[in-house]
Amino acid sequence: MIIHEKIFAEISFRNGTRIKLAEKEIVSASVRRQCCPDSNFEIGGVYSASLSMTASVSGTNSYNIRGAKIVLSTKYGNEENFQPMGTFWVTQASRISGDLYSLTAQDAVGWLETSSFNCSEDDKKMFENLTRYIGETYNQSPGTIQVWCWRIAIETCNALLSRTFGENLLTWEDYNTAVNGRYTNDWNFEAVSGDIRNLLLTCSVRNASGQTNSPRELLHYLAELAGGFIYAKENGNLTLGQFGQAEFGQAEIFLHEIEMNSCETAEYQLQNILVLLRACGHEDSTFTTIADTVLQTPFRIQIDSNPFLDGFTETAGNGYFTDYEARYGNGLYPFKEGLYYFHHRKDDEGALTSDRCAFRPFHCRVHKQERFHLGQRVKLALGEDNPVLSTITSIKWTFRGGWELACAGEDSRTMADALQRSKADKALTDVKLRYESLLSKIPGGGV
Amino acid sequence: MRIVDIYYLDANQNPVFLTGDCIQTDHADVSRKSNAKSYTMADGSLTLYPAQNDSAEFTLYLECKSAQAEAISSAVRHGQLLFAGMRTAGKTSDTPTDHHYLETAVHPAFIGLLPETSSIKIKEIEACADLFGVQIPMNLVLSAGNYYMQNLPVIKIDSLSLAGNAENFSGYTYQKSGWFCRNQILHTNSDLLSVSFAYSGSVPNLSASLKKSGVTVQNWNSVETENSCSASLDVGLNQFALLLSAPAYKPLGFRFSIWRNPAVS
Repeated sequence: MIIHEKIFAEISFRNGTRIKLAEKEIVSASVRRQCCPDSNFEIGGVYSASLSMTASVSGTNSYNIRGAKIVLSTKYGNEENFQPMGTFWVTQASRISGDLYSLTAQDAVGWLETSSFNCSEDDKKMFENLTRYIGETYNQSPGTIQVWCWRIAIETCNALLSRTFGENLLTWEDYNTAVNGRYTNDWNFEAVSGDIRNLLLTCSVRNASGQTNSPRELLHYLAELAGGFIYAKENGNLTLGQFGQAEFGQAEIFLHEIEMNSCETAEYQLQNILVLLRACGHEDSTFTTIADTVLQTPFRIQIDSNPFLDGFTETAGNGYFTDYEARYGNGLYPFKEGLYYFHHRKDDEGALTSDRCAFRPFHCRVHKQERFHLGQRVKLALGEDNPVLSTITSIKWTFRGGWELACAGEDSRTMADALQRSKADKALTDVKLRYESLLSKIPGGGV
Repeated sequence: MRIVDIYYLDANQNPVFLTGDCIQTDHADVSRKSNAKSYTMADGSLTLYPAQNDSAEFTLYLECKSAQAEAISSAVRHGQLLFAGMRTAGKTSDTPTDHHYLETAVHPAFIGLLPETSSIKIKEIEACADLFGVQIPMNLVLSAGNYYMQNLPVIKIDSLSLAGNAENFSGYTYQKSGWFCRNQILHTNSDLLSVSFAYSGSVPNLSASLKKSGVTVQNWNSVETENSCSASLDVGLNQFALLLSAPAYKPLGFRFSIWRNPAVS
């Protein structure tokens, strides 16, 4: 198999100058994207993609190149035009020798970090606006998770304008429901008895300890409820990603496209059995089923620290609906049910399709003239009879080095996992004992 | 589906495939010079990322037994078209005696034979002198599968140069062979291939013949002028060999042009 791969990068410096780089200048380049941690599967991931590049860049130095914007694109032999690989900002630069630099850069998600906001007037205004638009929509105007994500992106972008030469850094791209069908929990509002009722209830832009949540954290909480993740697409736009997103289809990978000794697959799939969350009027809400423990390993979706609340439980408590069937029958997907089914796609009517997204941990290195996407369903045709079906949660592309694909996850049935948990339980018990001990020392504080 | 194979032709001219275990790729040396890279795949085949814009050759190291080394005459075959010379290299003192390390240098231009190219050009292939010194004939393996035959109007090798000074070549008769293998599975219609040579300099007694699997094909058309000759024949059959022989007085500058007659579709 012969793969022709070309690369093109345009570096924009702060002073407005631009430099174009191609194969001749770029010694190596790789981009890593992920929507889950390296070892665990989780929802709500907001991870910036990182670019590592060694390239010959003339007429600059390591100070000036730091902060520069890199728009990277590549082209395979079977493609007519260059395709974007991401937009990045240089976070680290060091000179190797001569004009040869080693660069590390992050994409737009990096702008959402807390460290980007040092409480200038613009920052304060941003948080005020977020409080106004996101914190107070209950019973006033219907908003969707998407609209709130867009609001976070635009407010963040405005706050950043003053330090980024007036350039729009964050562009929100709507989840394409026409192509993909609906996303998990997109019905977070409903007219009930004439009132608009948000399923999704208010969230303080401040977290439980009184500190301000960064835009990244707010997006994380929303993505968690949407059963997906937030990421910057290859074209640079921020967007909501869903597992098994229809527009990416299913990638099919054959043995001759997998690098020797690079492929490992788990025998089991991750099976969601439990959703823990907070809801108005209730401490938590659960939904359980039984996993086939031979071929499936159970995992929990634990979002009880999410400051957004499942408000519909409260309205149900107020008498609009009294049981699960009533809510489900009305086309509403309160979060616990929605998240239980999050690995199904929903058609444009909101019905769950049979197009199920499987999560089977694997990793392999693939050489193929095809582009892969986070959340994309994948089929590894390793044998004739037993193809491995899974979902891509981590991608590392290397220029002329193929794609490292992985689905994160671990087997919760292993003893090592149980031991880790018992350590955590012990720590928790210690904290509780200390807390009670301290409480008893406070006059009138003991229970 | 095995796309890239490395094989040699046995005494009966049948290909003997080397497995992936035999293939070592030179990452360090190549990557220092260029961005070209190669990877061994799970099914034993190779994936190559040529560096089109670099002048450096793409180098593969093949480990094989001496019996194979003597017999190895062809190098890398792409499913459609690929071309490589081979020479011994990297023999070290601790190398087991029954193992040879062969280095095949794949010129980037060869790897430029891709479906999207409408015209295939192979320029200035440098065949090293030691190729002949160790008596390993360099057979040029071209596989003109139907894919190319159907999609490319012209398959053309612009030139083939033999480098080296006259002394190195003295006393030899040079035979250069090329096999043009049809994809038997996809074999449909017969196609007309034309073969022509052009040479520079004074090379008296240059003769060219076109043979099909060792049997001289009678129905080829040969046109010879002062500095070139050309031939064409029907290669609807599976295989034919192109033999070029000439007494060597001076460095030769053969020019091969092999193309499919555009008039025949």
